[in-house]
Amino acid sequence: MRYRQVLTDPIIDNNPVTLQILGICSAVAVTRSMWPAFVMAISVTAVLMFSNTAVSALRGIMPRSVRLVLEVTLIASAVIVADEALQAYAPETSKTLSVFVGLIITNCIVLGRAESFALNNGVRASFLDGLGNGIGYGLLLLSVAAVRELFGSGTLMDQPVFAQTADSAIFVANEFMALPASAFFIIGLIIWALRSWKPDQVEAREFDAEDGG
Amino acid sequence: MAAEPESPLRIFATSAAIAVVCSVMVSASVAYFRPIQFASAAFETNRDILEAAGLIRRNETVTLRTVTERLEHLEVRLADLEAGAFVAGDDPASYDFMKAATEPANSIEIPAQHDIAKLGRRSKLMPVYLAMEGDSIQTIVLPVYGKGMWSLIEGYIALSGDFLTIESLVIHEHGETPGIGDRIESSDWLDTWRGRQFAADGHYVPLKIVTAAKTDATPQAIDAITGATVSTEGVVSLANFWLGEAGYGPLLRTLSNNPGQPQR
Amino acid sequence: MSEHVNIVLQAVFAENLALAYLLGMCTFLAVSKRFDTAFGLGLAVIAVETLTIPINNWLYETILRSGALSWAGLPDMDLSFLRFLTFIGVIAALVQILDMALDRFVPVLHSRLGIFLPLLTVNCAVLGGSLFMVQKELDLSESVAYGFGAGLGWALAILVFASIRERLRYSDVPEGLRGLGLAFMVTGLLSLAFSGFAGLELRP
Repeated sequence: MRYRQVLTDPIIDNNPVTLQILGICSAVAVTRSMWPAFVMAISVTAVLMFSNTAVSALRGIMPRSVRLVLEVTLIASAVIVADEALQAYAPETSKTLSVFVGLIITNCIVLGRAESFALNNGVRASFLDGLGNGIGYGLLLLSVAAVRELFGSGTLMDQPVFAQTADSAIFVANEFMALPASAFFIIGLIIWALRSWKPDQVEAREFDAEDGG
Repeated sequence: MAAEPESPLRIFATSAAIAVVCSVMVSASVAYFRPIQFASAAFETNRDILEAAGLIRRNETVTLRTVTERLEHLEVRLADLEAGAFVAGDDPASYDFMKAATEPANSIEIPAQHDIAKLGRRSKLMPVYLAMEGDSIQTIVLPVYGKGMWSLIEGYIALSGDFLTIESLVIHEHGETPGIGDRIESSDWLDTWRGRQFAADGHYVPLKIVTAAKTDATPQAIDAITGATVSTEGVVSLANFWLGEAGYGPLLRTLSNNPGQPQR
Repeated sequence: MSEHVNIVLQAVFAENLALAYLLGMCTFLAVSKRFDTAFGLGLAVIAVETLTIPINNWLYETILRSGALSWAGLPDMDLSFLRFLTFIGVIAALVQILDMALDRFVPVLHSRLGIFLPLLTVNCAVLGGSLFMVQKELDLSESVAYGFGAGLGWALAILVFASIRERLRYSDVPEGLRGLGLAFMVTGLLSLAFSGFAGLELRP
């Protein structure tokens, strides 16, 4: 088992969001600025590592018929712990993230990796897979957030990058970045860029055009 | 011989075991984090109160020590709103007025025609924060809250020593629509509250929402936020409620008639 | 009454779960390839949301919320941290019931929906609706309105999207944008259109 590959694969080549179409549910509301996106990415990664490890460790004894329910229970418990921890140590960010921490339970990446990887692989590999997917997800989230924050308010991680309108005539805050639609477009553009770079990720046509058509 | 994986006994036993482990994990973490959460929440509350009082600048990052230090500059008193006077209390700062509002013994029902903040009931006593200069009150910070579009909006209004002029409004918590309603927290809009007055010629005049062009027309005018009408109305209504007769009105009247010692 | 209508309007347009919050996307993108499947799923989502949100509201108000257990003599108990598990449990049970009901009464739809019906249990939009209901502090009747509006909004979004996607099937799209990328662009435009409804409300 090539552990390094398990870890690095999901970052670009097999990125959960852009290739596997998983887990974008939270990519809109939490990417208005970088800091909430970062906290969200950490939370998802932590939950992923826990759930993958737990499911992998228990895969021998989990009965098939209630497997899904047990997985959701494990994931939900991890999310509760994460949510409580966030409320304790980062209450402002926790309010910004509001319901989206709870929605990690239904985040397709978490359940998806548990079902497709952790059930069939050892504990160490599953742990790394969880970490890798978390990083891949986090990278995408942070990229979107960086663009939205930079052009939406001229800051990155709350540090001013562009001088604000009052001081300079160059930068005017782009209000479009505050809208959910901007996240969609940015993700679409990122996917386009990614697939132009790695053509093997391009989807096949849904049909076959006639030659010379 | 071990039970087969799909036998009911096995299913039950495994599920029960996992359930127990998860319960312990969750309960333990909640028990562990609760006190930290209270401390964090208290920190945020105090920070907003200090920001309203002008002792902390808006985006200033502060530590617990700074907050505790600067809190010393404020005197906390418990006020009986109907009587318009201060009352003695053990620990005014920790008086849970939101909880008191739900207890019949500690709250009063707000008459329908006054209930513009849609609260139903309010606590009889409210903690207020005073920044003293010598013997006179320089600034008074009042906790306020009311219904917005979607959620309860909580904040603090600071009035200057004439008890008429608003020095600042700080929004502490809200659940309004992100990107639209949450503009009630934006510095630009909150800055327009500075200097507004809710009284003229000695009597109470409620604040009014106006469109941008007429913002400076009267001291009671508050600029509307485009696309966030209901959220704006929520904030203005709650301000008008608490600054009016059914809220802090009687207290403010008492204090402005006795510019010296706050009644002990 | 007009307040309930406003809740529905808000939930369908300005706070559309799919187009404003990007919830339920995995199913959204997978099922929208055919209009009639999307239609069936939309109906299922409306049913699930309209039922689960008021039930969850009742549970939250009666048992979980801080102080909710005062009727049992435990006024200081705060079990709100259990809302995730409780809501998912209710949703899972209801989806199971709906699955069995459809299998019995509308088997065509049931087989067409296939795996996507049980998948509603872990659909972000369904859980998200209940969590938003808690955040917005709605009462029972408002929860019914919100549940209906949230489901309707999501269904509307998926139907419009499926219709557009059907028309884009044969279009010549840059390779890197094909499939998922284009889906995002289209959804972005839809989201933009729907956010134009912000501030729309009924005034009595």
